[in-house]
Amino acid sequence: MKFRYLLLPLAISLSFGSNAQVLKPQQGNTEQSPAPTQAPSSTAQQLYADAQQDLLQLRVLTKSGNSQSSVGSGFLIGTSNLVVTNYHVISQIALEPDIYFGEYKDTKGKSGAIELLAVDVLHDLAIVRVDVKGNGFFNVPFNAGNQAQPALTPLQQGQHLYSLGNPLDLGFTISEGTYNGESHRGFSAQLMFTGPVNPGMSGGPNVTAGGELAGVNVAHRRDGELVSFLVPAIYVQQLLAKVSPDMTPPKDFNPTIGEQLLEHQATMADKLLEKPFSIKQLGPYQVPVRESEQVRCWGNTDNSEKKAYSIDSINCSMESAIFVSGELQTGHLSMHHKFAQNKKLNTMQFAKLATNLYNGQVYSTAKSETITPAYCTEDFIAHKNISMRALVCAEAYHKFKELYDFTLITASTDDSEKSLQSMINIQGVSYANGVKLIAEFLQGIDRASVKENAGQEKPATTSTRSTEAAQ
Amino acid sequence: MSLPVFVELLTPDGEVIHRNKFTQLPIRIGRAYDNDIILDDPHTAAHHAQIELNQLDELVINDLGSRNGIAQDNQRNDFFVVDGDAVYRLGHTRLRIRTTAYAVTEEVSDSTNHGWEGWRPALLGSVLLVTIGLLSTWLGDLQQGTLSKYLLELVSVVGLAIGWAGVWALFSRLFNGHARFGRHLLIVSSGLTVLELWEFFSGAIAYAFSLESLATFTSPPVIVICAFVLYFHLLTAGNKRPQRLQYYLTGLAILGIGITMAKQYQTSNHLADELYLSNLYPPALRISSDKSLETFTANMNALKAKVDEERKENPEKDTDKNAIEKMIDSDTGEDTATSSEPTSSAVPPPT
Repeated sequence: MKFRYLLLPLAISLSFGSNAQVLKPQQGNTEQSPAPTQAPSSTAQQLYADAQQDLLQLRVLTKSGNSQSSVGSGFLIGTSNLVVTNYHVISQIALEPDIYFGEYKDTKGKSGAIELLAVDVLHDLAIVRVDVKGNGFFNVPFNAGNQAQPALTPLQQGQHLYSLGNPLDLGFTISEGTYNGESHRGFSAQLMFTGPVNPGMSGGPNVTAGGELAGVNVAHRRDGELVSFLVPAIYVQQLLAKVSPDMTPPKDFNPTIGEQLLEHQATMADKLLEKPFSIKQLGPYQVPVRESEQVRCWGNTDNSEKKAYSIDSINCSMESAIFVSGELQTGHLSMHHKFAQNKKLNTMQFAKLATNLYNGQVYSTAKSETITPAYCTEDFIAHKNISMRALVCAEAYHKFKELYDFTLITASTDDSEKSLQSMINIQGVSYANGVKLIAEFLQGIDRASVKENAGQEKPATTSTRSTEAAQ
Repeated sequence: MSLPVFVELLTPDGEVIHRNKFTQLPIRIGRAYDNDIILDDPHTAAHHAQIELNQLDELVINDLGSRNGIAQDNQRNDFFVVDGDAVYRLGHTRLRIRTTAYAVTEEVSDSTNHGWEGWRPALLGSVLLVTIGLLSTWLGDLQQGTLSKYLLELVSVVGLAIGWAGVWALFSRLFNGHARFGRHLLIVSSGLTVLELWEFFSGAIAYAFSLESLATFTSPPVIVICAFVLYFHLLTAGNKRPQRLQYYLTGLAILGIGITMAKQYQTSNHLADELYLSNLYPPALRISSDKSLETFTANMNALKAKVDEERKENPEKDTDKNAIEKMIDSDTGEDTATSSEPTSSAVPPPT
């Protein structure tokens, strides 16, 4: 159910062939620069002409092979030597500075080294320092330190916005679109931009017709058309407030990232636990779900006449996660409920079906460099009107202190003709919050008392809020 | 002294190659053609040994001055007083000497059911195979499959078993002159039956009593059952030393279990094949009692110490790798300045 993608170039290696490789800045330039004698005829043309000097392409390369590992965009702030980009563009430099280094390239093809100064993993922003100064096109007013940031002109829905960047490493571009409000699917708001934003444009600026910074290109949805997202400029202000052009950057960004993740998980857990889970009905069972702006639920019923059993399911999942590295995305939660009901199977066969549903849902790996092997505990537990088999596994993060992944699976054991199987998967929370969420989830699983339901075959009620599930 | 005397030439395994009966002493042994027993062993002398009576009227074997001599249990001597159970080695030749007075061991009771050969065990094996095959197919048939599906499943199981038994029959025929296909089929069918039953009942018992290890360690019992099947196949194929065979197979089984566990440990950090008990059975089979939610939460809290122990903030492997990377970097440091034009590589998309 994950539809949103950050904008790094995605597997454009083979299809472009050798021609794509020579399409480098030189050629890009000829396309970009409008003839100086010609008066600019549109806003976009004017904007591009003004902005291009402060627009950069950022590239992460491996030290050993000197080969490109990821590319994105960035822009110089005011007349300083600070460049704003996305965290995910330079994540490799932050996490593995011994293996990766970065480089910028401007619209004229000039290149130089970059130095990472600050990261904001939660909003996917980073600031790097370069050896050139901006011409003052992208002015972002900010107050240093922890003061309130100066207010920006509010955006109006339908207003034209312009995204700049270097999509798919093809050359610098500007694309026009409209502003369409804020999206609250993540724990911090993002702006919705209806316009093309492609991999490689990550970290590029998005400006109003007046040249004021609206946000930073960050993601788009693959299942939609022109549905793109921007990091609001306010977070750029907040991050700029924490750096100065001559500061000494920390040697190791892991502790900073760890702190930010810890801070995020606290917000996430508070938000998830602020009120009790809502209860949904699946046959005679009651199951907990959390439906909110961040967690979306879909229901599904598999009840064909030919089948010897029926399965109703509810899946709830957060649509956003925090990108830390290619191998690690965290700050995520999902819940699944499956309710199987026997129609024609023998009791033993139905038990086999329940086994198949319960089996193989949790793994332990000793080979991951990001998480530890899983440790689990399992038991038969009885609670209120239900008894069930429950298994919970926990994994810790190698590099980030006090962060854990949890998986709980349960299977009801009180009925030979019905089986309720639930699962909750939580990524990147503190141990206490993980236990709290799991206990809360377990509390919510129940069965309406048997007599009430006797002889009454209730069709399973499932969530139908699936309008946006363009699957 | 009881004549006649029997001199038996043995294989290294102790089986008799040739048995000579002598009514007169002495008996001369060697490579030369004037001996009573002519040896073809180049490690023996022309006139190697002589079996005769000594002054005490005991039967002795005397070395006639050969280079390699006579040895019993690797102890070389000029002569030995003959013992019916001893094996004497002359060069590479093994001899055993017995007189009519030698008391043979008691008759071994025949455990081989000679009527139980041919079509009878084959039939029983087939019946077992069909029954267990149908039963397990039915149990796993959640889509209410058609008859053809059952038949297909049966044909493959029966085909496999017949093929396996056939290979063993060929093996038996080669080494023992007797194929015993029926028996081999019965053995493989019984093995498969035991495997299926074990899978079902071990799961049921694990579920009933909440015995997780019975459900998570799945491969050791399978290996043990396979070792038993092999044992009976080899015995049927004509192995004459069941004791030694048992040792070999036990060793093999332990080795097999050790290897699977080591492999499992490397990939998942757990010795068991499965991470958790996943076989569910109807509520009627439950015997163990339910725990409270509080106990479960307490157990969950106890996991923290275990996972924390596994944390490696800077895995050693990593630092080693980095050191090597650095060395490579210093070699290619100059190249960094001259930036080439590499293609952009893919980065997996996050949400």
